[in-house]
Amino acid sequence: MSTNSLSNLLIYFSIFLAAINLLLFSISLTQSKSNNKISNIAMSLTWLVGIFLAAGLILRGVAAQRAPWGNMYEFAIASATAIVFTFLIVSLRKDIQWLGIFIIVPVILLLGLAVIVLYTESGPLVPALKSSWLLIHVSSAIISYGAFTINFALSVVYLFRVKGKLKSLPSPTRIDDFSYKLVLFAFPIWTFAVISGAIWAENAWGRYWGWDPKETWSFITWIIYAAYLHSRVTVGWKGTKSAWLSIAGYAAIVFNFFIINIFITGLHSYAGV
Amino acid sequence: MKNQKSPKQRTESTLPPLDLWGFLRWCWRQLTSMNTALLLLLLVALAAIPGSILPQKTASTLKVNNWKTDNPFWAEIFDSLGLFDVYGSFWFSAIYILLMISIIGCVVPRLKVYWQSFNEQPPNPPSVINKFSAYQKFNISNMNINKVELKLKELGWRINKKGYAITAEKGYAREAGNLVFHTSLIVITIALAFGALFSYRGTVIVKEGNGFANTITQFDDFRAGKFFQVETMPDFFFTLDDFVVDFERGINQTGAPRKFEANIVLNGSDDLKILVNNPINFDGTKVFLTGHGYAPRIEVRDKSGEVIFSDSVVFLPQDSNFSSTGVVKIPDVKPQIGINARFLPTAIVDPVEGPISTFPALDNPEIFMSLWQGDLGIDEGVAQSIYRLDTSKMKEIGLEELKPGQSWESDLGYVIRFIGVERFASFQVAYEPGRFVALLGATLAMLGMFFGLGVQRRRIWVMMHKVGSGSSVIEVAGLAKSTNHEISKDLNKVLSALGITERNKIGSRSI
Repeated sequence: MSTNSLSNLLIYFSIFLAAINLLLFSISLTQSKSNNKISNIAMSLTWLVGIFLAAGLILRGVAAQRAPWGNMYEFAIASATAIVFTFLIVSLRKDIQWLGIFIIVPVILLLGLAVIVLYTESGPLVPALKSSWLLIHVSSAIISYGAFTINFALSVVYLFRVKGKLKSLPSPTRIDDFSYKLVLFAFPIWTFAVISGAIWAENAWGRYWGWDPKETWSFITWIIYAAYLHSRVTVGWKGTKSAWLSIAGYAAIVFNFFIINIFITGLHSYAGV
Repeated sequence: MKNQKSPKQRTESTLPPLDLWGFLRWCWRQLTSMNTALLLLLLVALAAIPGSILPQKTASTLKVNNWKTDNPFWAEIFDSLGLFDVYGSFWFSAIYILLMISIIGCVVPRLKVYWQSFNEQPPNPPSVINKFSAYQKFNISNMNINKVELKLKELGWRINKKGYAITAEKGYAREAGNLVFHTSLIVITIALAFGALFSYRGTVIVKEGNGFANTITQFDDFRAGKFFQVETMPDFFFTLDDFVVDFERGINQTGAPRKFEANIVLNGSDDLKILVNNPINFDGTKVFLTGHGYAPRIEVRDKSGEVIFSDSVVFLPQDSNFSSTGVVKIPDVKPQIGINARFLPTAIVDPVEGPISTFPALDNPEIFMSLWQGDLGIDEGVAQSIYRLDTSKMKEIGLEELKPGQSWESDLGYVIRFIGVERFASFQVAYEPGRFVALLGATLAMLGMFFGLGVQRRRIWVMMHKVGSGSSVIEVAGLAKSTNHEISKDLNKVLSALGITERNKIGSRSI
């Protein structure tokens, strides 16, 4: 079996495990105690999902002899891996099993899209991507996307929670606080992704900022999350409006990844959809 | 960036006073308020959107013109609104200039406050501290308040000691980080503006064997900032020796480019390679490889056998398999003639689509050409594209399909020969003077952000009371200015530095 098909197998298997996980997390949500037996099993299973995803990703890299984020399929797999691991690493220090279902849903959606729509066999890079900046610029984007995804999930839960729904989950204040911490983590990394992208652009196209559609939406994303951070210390914005801002920021990320990559031609349009 | 103080103050400040000075101050306060800053941020984000969806003049004038032709109704309206040059439009500039002013109006007063805070002590300790967070009480011996003060200073706390009580503060780097970050944003904006005024960039197509010298007339397309001066362009020239390409031949991603390499000779002596991510730099001016294509060599002889045209002709690629179109214009014969041609590097004749190229490399090169006679329309003095043949005043003489080496004797006696295929490369030459300042700004912004987001401003108190000879009670408590900081961690560090353990604890209260 080739490294490439072994990688595919691992990805498929992790989707299968994630589907079981979805079931377990949904059942655990109906339990009265948030830290129940089913959710404990689900957490262990999440580790397995993470490990399989990471292994699949690494094998893609081995097959192509490069960083495994050279096209949209690989980027989606890498982002899903980042989401799962951000969740897992936080879970080591905090009791966030209740969040599991809100993490596993976007992960399944992303992986499903990756294998059904975005799949491409592993291969060498187009010359435009042959740069050590690929490793630095794209990996920082992936890591921050992972944390922003969880922040998005938390903001959605927060909005339900302040409306008095999902009562078994932690208080809105706690959710909001946790959500803020994720942006505190992700925002500097996203800033770095944008800056390193600018340095790469200067080196590849002769200008560090040219309002290419991808650049524009990275900027929009950055601005919205900057607004989110400021909204936290502004009377009248904190809470619900803040949560909507973080949802808007995530919408910009999703738009940048799917709509800009697939439908709008720009200098970033080489990703081998 | 400013915290809104209290609801009462807000309602007062939303009523503009009647005199002019008061009104201006009211405007200034509104502009520099956090609410306005937030709205401006969201406005910038919103205003940036159309530029990512509509074609922009700065990226491609051709695409803008095509869009206008396809949407004649909207073309005029959009153009007058500056929607084809969003990032240079007055309204986009207005928003970001307002945002910058709002930032400056916020940073400057805070800079003053921060500067003053260096000469100020933390406030006096209160008489009772058991209402604050993580309050703890210990029974200890062999401790005096001076020793506590010394330890706190060692741990980097700023101190105000009054008798047997101490206020200690930490986390000043947060505000410093915030100030550095916001100042850096202004630096980056200035660098961008400076770059736009002094920069120049141009594109040029160079055929294999031909050369380029860095003067304005040699560029196919040239843009420069308002303050650009021709004398600042460095003198250099290069010839393109050859251009090497390689495409994917496997079933997966067939035809995807794998290698582009322009081998050049700089200033007649240095052999250099220009790769896609690897430009050459000459005195701050960089030369980038941006594209490539085919330049078939075509020769035309008249009836008497005399050569009236012989050159390689740049054919512009139309798709990823490099179906390319090109034009030959021969104005010196009467009546004038022209050739409209389509070049296919790997030609097949598809039953539905006709002749198409199925691979970008030269596997089966063919030219499909049509010969035209009449008026080329180039004598009227109107600038004409060298890549388009205006056939409105011409008539078609004949059609032919040629492989390299083949000739075609047309009805008029002209003999057209397809000699062979060469390549061309397109280069972008760019000079971006503000880039180091921008990088400095970006680096400082990152640094400022780490401190501004990572460090928390917090305050702790330590109090001692003597209860007997050599034995005393020590109380500690703290207060974090932001909710997400755990003050108890700071207190634990201080306590362990003082050698106070849980065993000594006689009371606690947590909030």
